[in-house]
Amino acid sequence: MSQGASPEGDLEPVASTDTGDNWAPTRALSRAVLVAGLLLVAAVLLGRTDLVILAAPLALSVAFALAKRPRTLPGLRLSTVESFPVEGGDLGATVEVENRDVTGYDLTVVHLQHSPWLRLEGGAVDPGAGRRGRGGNRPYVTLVPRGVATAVELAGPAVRWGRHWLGPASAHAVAADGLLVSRAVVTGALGVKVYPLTDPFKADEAMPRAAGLVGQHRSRRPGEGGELAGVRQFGPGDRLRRVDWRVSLRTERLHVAATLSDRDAEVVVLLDLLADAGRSGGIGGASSVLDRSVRAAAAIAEHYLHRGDRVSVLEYGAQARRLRPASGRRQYLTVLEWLLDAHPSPTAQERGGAQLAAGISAAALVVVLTPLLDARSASMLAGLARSGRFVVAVDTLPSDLTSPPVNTWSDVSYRLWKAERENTMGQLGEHGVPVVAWAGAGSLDAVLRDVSRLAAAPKAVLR
Amino acid sequence: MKQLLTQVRDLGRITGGPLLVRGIVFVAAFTGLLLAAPGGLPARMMLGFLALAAVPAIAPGGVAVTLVMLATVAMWLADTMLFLAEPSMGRLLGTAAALYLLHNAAALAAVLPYDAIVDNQVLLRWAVRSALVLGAAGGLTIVLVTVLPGMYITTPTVALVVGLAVVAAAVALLTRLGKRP
Repeated sequence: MSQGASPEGDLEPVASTDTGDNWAPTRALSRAVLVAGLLLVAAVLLGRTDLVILAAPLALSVAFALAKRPRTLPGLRLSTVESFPVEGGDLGATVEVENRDVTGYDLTVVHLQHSPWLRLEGGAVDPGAGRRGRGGNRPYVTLVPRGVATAVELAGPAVRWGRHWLGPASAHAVAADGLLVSRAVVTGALGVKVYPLTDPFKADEAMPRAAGLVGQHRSRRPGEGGELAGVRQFGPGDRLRRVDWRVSLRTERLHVAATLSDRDAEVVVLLDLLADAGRSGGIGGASSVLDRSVRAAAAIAEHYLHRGDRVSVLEYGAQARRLRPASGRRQYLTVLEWLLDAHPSPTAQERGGAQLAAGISAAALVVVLTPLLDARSASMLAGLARSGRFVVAVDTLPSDLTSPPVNTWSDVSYRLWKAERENTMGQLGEHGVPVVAWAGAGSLDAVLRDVSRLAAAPKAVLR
Repeated sequence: MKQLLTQVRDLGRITGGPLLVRGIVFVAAFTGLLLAAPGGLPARMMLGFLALAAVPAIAPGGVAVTLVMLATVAMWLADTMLFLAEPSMGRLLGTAAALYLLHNAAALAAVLPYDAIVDNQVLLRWAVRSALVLGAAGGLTIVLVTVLPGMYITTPTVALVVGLAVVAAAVALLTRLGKRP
């Protein structure tokens, strides 16, 4: 936890120079000199000792404060203390201010800018006390004695996935009883990656068609696997380790345990990024279409990769990014990293389903995460199905999405649009593309069952 | 209108430390005006003093602080020269302390963001240094009162010129202290 987020997570203190430009007098200095000077002049001209007494504290304070004046700028360091935070997970940041001068600072004002999705709070921490205050995107004022570094520690949850910025941090010191203020010292900004929280997801149904005779899915074909299909008499080609000795001894003939073959599958997760809708409220609030798509994609990828399948991710949008199919834990981390760069990217010209299908394996299960807000999304789904791909559409439009009331016809037009959308979903269903609303665990079971049944049946395919 | 709404919303972000310091600015300004003002002023003037003292508390970084300090000095001179009042030593020391505290607290308030989380040690150190300065100034006052014959000193012209030269040198020294690298 104490390690920096990345090699560039820690910044070196900003180099300071011993020039006189580092510290500037404040208005308080000119005020004190002006009032004290006027009082003393008046005292001499009028021969009044009381005016000298009135001026004495002001003159003494200036002389006392400026007897030892600072020369160098404070050192500033910004670092993070969390490696791979997930949405809702805690993130820590430390801003360290160092006084390398011959005199102590009265105070140092520290500002830390950060993404609004990082809810960092904190306060000045004494080196020995370990005390932490409360705040929230506020400046922190802390005492920095001579030759001491004071750390301001901030911590809080990262409430939304994505690439967030932490910093820049800035600090300026005040010395000589507020008569001198230093130039601001600024650090660079740090990038913080917050990975999407995977919704709980589980699909127990068999894959429609597997790619080879290896993998985690039981097939309906007999072969080498872990799933017991029955016991039969020993035949040529059977392996000796498959002999069921109990049955063989009882029947006095060699019997072997027959198994079903295991198969793997390729899952293609296709993110429709042509349009976004809804307002994102972070992990505890409302979800936008993009939020639901990304979290669902992460959950589906995690599930199938955990089962040993190969997963690839595609983007249906202007950027048309593509992640090659692979399996394993490394692919899961790559998928999460890939998803961080998912942004709505509307485009005027987008590839059709047939063009997309050319780059997708014929045996792959294509899970399309789409809000069906753009007519081209429905065309793409139909095109994929007509190309013979096993397509499942997951509706990522939030159920609580409402239309802003613009005029009296807003509600009617919104209901018409919803009816038209449901009609489109029905038509897609008729084309063999089941559309299911994303609901976390078990979302895809019902439709996978249908797709498996359809896959077993003969079908005409346009070539 | 939008700016006003933003400012009103920002009021909710004020934290205790800066509020305390601005409160000290207000109290010091009001006390200074009250002590320096000639006696027998109408009660309506008190409201004026309250309003005047609130200005440096609201804008401690502006010229209002200087103007209130000069107003305090002007009222002190008016009371002692026009109304020929004989101020007590306590009133003189109180006015001097109020002037200094107004200046010093305003200097701190000007560098403290209104919504900052302030470490208590900062305020404690500030209070200790202010007390030291006030203590030193009190000692100097005792010396002056002991050495000098009274509040009014009649000086020859030569002494006046020498005194002005000393004042000019003192002001130049203070200014140089602030500007030297």
